[in-house]
Amino acid sequence: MRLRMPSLWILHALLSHWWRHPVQLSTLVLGLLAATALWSGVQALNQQARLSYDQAAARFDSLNQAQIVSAGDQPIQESEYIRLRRLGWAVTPLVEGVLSLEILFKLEDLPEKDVKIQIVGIDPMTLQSLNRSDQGSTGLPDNLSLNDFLTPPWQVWMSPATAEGLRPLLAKAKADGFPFNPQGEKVSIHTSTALAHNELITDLYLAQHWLGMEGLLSRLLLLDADNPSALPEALASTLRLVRPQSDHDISRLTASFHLNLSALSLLAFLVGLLMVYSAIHLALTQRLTLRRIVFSCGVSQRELMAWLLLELLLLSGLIALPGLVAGYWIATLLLPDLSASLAGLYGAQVSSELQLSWQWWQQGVFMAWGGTLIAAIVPLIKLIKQDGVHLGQSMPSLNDQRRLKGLSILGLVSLLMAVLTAGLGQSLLSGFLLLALVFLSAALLMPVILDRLLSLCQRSAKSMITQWLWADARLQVPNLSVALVALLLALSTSIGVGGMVEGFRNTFTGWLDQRLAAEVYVRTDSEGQAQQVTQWLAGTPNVTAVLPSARAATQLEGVPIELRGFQVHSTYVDHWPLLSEAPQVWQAIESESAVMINEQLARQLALNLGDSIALQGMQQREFTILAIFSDYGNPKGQVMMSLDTLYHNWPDAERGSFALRVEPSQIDGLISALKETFGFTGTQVLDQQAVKRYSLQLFERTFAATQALNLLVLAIAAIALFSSLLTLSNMRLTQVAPIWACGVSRRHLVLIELLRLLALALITALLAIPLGLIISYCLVNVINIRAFGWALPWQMFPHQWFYLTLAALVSAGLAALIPILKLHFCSPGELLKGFRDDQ
Amino acid sequence: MLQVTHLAKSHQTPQGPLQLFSDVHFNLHAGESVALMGESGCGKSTLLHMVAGLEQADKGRILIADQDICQMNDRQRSQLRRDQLGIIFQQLNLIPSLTIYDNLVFQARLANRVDDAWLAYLVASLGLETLLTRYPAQLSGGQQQRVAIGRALAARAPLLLADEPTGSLDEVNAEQVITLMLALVKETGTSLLMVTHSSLLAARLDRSLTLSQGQLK
Amino acid sequence: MINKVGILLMLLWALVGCEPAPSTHGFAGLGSDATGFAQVEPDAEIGYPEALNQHPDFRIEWWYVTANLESESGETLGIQWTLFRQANSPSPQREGWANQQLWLGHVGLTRANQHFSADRYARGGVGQAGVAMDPFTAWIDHWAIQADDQAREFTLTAHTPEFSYDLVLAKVGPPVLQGNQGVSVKSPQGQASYYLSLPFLQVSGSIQIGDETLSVTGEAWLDREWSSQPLAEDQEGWDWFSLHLDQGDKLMLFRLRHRQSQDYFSGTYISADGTAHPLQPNQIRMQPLRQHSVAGRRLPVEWQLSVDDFGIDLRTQALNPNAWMATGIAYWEGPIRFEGSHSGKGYLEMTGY
Repeated sequence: MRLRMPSLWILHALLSHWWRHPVQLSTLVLGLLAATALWSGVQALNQQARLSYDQAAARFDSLNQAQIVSAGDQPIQESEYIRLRRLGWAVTPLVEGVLSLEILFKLEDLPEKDVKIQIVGIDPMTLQSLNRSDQGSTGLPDNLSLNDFLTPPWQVWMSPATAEGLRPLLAKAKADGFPFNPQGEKVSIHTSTALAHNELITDLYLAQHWLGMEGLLSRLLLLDADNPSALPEALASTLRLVRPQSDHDISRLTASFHLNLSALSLLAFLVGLLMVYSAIHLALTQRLTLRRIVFSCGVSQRELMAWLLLELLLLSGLIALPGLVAGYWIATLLLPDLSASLAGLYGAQVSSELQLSWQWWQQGVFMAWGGTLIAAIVPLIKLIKQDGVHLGQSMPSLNDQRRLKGLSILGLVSLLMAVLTAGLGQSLLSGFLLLALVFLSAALLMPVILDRLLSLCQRSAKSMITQWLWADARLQVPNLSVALVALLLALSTSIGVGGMVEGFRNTFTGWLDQRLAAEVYVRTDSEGQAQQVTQWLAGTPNVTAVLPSARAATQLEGVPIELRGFQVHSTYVDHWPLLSEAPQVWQAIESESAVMINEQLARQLALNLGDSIALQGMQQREFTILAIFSDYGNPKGQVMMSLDTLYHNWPDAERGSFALRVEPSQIDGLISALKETFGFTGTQVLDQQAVKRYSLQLFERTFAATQALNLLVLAIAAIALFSSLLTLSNMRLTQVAPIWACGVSRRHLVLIELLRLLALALITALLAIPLGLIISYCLVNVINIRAFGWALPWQMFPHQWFYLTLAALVSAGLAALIPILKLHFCSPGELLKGFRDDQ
Repeated sequence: MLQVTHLAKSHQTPQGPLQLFSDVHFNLHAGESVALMGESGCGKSTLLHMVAGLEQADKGRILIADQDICQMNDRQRSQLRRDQLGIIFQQLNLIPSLTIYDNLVFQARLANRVDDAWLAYLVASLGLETLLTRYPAQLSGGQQQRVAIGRALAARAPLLLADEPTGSLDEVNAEQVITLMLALVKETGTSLLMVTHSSLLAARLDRSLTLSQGQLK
Repeated sequence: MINKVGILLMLLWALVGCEPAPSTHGFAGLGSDATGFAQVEPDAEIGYPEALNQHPDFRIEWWYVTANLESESGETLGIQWTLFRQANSPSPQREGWANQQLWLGHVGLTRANQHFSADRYARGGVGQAGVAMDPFTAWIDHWAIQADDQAREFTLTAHTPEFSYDLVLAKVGPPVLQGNQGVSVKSPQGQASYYLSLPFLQVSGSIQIGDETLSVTGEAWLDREWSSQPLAEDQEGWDWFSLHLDQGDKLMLFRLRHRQSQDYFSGTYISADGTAHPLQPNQIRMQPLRQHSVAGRRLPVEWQLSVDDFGIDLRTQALNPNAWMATGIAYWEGPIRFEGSHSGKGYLEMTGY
């Protein structure tokens, strides 16, 4: 075989090493695969979420829009819209409504009763023209053809998933319902991933038809006015101008959530890189002979270096691609949970269909390359520094001692930096830096601690064999330390994250019990309905208390907050989860218009009991804080006050929510009666159990991604340990042979070998516990406060430690299985080989 | 073929620099075979490595095919090794992950001088026919050294440098290997510089030089 | 005045989000098939003021005003006001939001060192834009032109964040039928439109630019044109002139640029008393002179115009060479002045560059 470029034979020689050492190759592949997959998987999730936020922000009905709504209960008249246009107002009309499938299709006995479709009718002419001035996108599908959109039979746009869901119904549709236009023609249906689930976008004409809103409009978006002027007097009585809500920046709210995920994926990446490092390190060490031969055959140092780099880039590039595919797959698995928890926590809509840009693939490959280079740099430098001719007659014991000393110095420096970071810095990022430094210190100090511990064991050992056992374990530490560090990191993360999640779950369920003291919760559509409900409830015998509440939005020191009015009642007095309170707080709230605030707000603005806050009420500008309550899961600051105080100061507060105290046996009856009488949907009337269920479900989904990643990290660490042991097993024969020659049976040797590995794993697990506790402390008392605004009690869960230690032992045992079997079944001849000098 | 003049070299040791030799001269004519002898640690291997461009001289000139290797940079020295030199070490001469055949043609491939007929002849002469698809670990020490000789000669380098090529072999094997090597060297007209501590072996070459107390005799 | 059609269609194409196929339907689809729409008949009678009304059976039409103005301090300005209508399907007309008419408004204002433009979009059927008679009114949002009962005087208004104007246009001469009794041929293949102009309009009123208010007077020119398929397939752009000669005569000239064949020329010489003299293609010479770069394109902002049979040989110059209409579909339109055999002022529009 002749190659155009003779130097390619160098690459051939380099690569041949991997084929001859499949274990090393698979360590490299698995490490890099795992690193790339986990990292890029999480990045895909984050990217998808960000894309969804951007789409939401760019949408024509984004909450960031100034708009005009009806002042009363009635929709806006078309004539009012035209009047505004003729006055020069840059508004575009929307017709919106939610219909159940039954009503939309005019079909009876549909199996999916609860599916609701949001219909949005737009006028693309005014929407497009206004939008063009600010260069943004409307959130309309890119490929929407205006002419077709406005021409019979007209069009309907929906997400692919919605289309999939509606497909079976389309076949049996009747001509007076969806998807037929008023002329009885079937409209053409188009899909776009830019749209939310169960949402139909169509021309205003069709939306009015299907919603029965001919001549009426839901609201008018004000598109060009940064500073809208007042409405003309003639319209001011029927219309209301709503200014943009600047607080609804979803990406800001969710930033901490994504940072959390990113940090965990970075950890996974690092654990994967540790595997890559150990594979590359070993491969380069074992290729010292190759290096000398290649050198003597006329390859310069620099050329060899270039080929080595090329080899690594080639390999890692090739591995990165399946890694990315795996990452995509992981993201697909986690996305439903992620979108559910983001929707629940922040109201952020994340499309459940993954769309990835080419940048994502590019980033993934670069990440793999970067990671490989980082993992390779130390081994490469070592290789270059090594004498070109003499095969290094290194003195391991001396080198190891020096190495351990270096590691302990670095570890202590990193520990010092961690302490400094803990003291300084208030940002979430510095919180993660702290975590990273804790991990780094642990990783650096781990081999030192292990060495000390083993030498301690060695000294205290009584018999020759046990002494040898410890001494030999000590000898193995340098070779196994990378894998053991990976295991340590994975275990301690599990302990830390597991402790945090479990602690949160405990706190959260307890808090839910307190907070959801009432049995039934009702949310009405309008003021009028609220009054009807109140009257109806007054006549219902089983309801022991009706506790209305109302809400309003305002700002405090520039921070958007929510105001809530409630009626002081024993339900709250006995149960409300207060973190701290002044004496007589409930009386003060009822009579002196004192307020209580949630923990988030207190932390964000550094507020304490007795402080006054300035709110722009109609009657009153100063409110005294007399209690702080915990409010998990709420991204916003909240101020609670008595209903009277709220109504006096914010007369336009949104009313119509009720908490009802009911005899437990009467709950179901009351709920169905409410639904029947007022046509409430399942989300408007909720019983306590349903709310709890929903909240806990949300909770689980929020941490589903975290726990899944955590498990994967643990799995990678186990694989790292396994591959290290497998690689070492060949060398072990050399080291075991003298003992065998001294008359220790092979069975005995196998037992010792297993014991030693289990001991190493046990020590690692035991070291992981305090580290895990430190990490969980950082999570609950640093990261959580900075990311979400609430603190959690630092709880310990020894049963978790027990299981994780067990898991570490089992994985070490499994990892040791093959090498030990190899030892068990090897022939005396092979053991004798251990005495031979070569290889 | 090879001219060495005014060559000086010292080693850094914890006790300060140690002068190995300060003014070494010798010549090697085309087709000539020369043994380089001396006690352990006298620097004969270092001298060989310097000729190979693997180690740097402190002073002096080493001319191979009229080019001064001491004036070259790493890349040029490597190119010279690839084209002009074949090097055989005492042991671990082979790339463990390549087959015997790939090891054999490695340098010839790099130098872009693969000659299939010549290779076949070498393989036959060295008795490697049945071993070509094996890996180095599966060969005995003597077999490995034969492959190393084959690799060094396969590229038809005009100068062969051997550093105790039989040093790690038993007598019978050593004899076989050295006989094969010398026969092939004579046959191809290759110049040979061989470091050895065996005067018996040295006597089989055209002449021998002894390095002692920094002087070459 | 074919120009406006193209702009509307180009704009719609842009909204539609796909580029018009370059060679199959003429520029911006203007040559596309007009099946189902009313056609231009050679012997139709065009009356005034009925010509001001809309003709929804035809695919496209426009109401178009340009004015050359002068402020009290002697500053020269120009304004443009245009309303386009396009039907995206033929009659019958559908009611309400289902209506097939699309409306587009363009306004521009040009001074020597400034140029502004703006556009507005609407659909028919709901009253946001439209045309009504008795008296004549054409509007899109708050931009409108409105006549008195006899259609002798018009008020013209437009308001944008940057500028606005309120002008009164007094008709001081008769309406003029362009082409052959109002049928203006656009290509050798016979594509045509109905075309009536009011070139004799005296203007007075006020213009607001930022905080500045200017009282202005001057001359305006109103065009009415409607058709269903006015362009040949390979016509890619045009250069159109409306000129007020100082001695009172008017001149309209246009050139349609063909991709594959010879350019098509047309025009009308209008005597001060309103008598129209249609010009044959071979009577007209239009020579681009100086090229100018604006918005990344190069356009001729100076021209040599000759109609030998009427002793016309003019050299025109733009008031502001940067009179670029940065609307949905961009084009050049602005006031010009000219010297040579005659002097005077007018408007130039250039599209498809």
